[in-house]
Amino acid sequence: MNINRVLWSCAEDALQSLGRSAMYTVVWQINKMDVDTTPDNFDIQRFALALQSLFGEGSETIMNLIYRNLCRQLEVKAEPDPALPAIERINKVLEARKMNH
Amino acid sequence: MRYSGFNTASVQRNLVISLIVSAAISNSLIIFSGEDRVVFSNWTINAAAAIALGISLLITWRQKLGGLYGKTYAAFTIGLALWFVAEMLWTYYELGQGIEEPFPSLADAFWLAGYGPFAYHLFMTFRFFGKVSKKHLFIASLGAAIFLAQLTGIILSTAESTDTMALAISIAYPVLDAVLIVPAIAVLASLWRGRLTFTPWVLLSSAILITAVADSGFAYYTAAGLDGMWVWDLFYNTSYMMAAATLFWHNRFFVFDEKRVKKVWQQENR
Repeated sequence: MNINRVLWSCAEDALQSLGRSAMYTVVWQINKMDVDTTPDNFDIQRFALALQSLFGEGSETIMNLIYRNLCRQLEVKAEPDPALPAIERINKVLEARKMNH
Repeated sequence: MRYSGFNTASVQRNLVISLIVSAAISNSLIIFSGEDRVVFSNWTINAAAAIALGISLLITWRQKLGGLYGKTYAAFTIGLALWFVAEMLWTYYELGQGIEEPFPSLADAFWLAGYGPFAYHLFMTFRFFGKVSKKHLFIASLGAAIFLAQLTGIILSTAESTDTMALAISIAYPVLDAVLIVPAIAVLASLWRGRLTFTPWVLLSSAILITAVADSGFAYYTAAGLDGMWVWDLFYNTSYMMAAATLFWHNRFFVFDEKRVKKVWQQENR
């Protein structure tokens, strides 16, 4: 399983919560910030920075959705720790997955 | 982070300049129209409301009803449609029937009904983006509550009218404005630093604040029986224009435009 592909599908689902049209335009603008959105090469760290640049603190909501989608896809329990930014929680999940492999 | 997409800074600058120029022109029409002021103020406000409604309808048609933006912008369109009907009714009463201050009237029912969809738009957006800023929500709620308490005090202390219905409706507007201001400011606090989200939320929050000032002024003038109500038309007109500018931004940056994307791609790969 390519984890970048999984992360991209989680990000796509999260962005879709804004609406399909908004998702396309946000993805296009994120591409313009040199973030590769091809599923196999998707970089969640750069995506998080780009999203923050577009939405400010509001990006945290979308990153939280990505985190929840990721936990569901990898079948791990989501940790509701609001003090920790979503990208750090995503990184924790990814690290735990690496260690288990 | 390097960004080579749409030039948001240039659109922001042009939008603000256009807004200032068009507000100056249309408000001048109201200020300097003399005896025809009632005609100019009615139709200037109607035109601004129609422009805002037109852009909103375009957005709803282009982005459909899916997702947060689909639902919230459809609600915004319904709110604007109700307010547009109210504006037209007001014009009918003033210009068609010759009633000087048609208040309260059927138009108020449409204005008050419009607050429902606007509240839906703001609270749904707040529920999505605003949960990280409970502190901001508290500050905004407190501010709105103080504003409301003071206003109600002023209105009640100066009221000469014994028309309870008119007084209740007068007070209802600022109260409902305060209800809208709370989520608007909370969302603005969350989206403040966003390249795409700063401009529309500053404009929308300002539009609601301007409407609140106008409604409070209108309520005060009505209760105190003062002349010169037309002054508040300048605020309503500006508020509609700011709402139209907010919608213009959303249409440009949040609704996917395949043709424009192709054009940008062609320019880059020439």
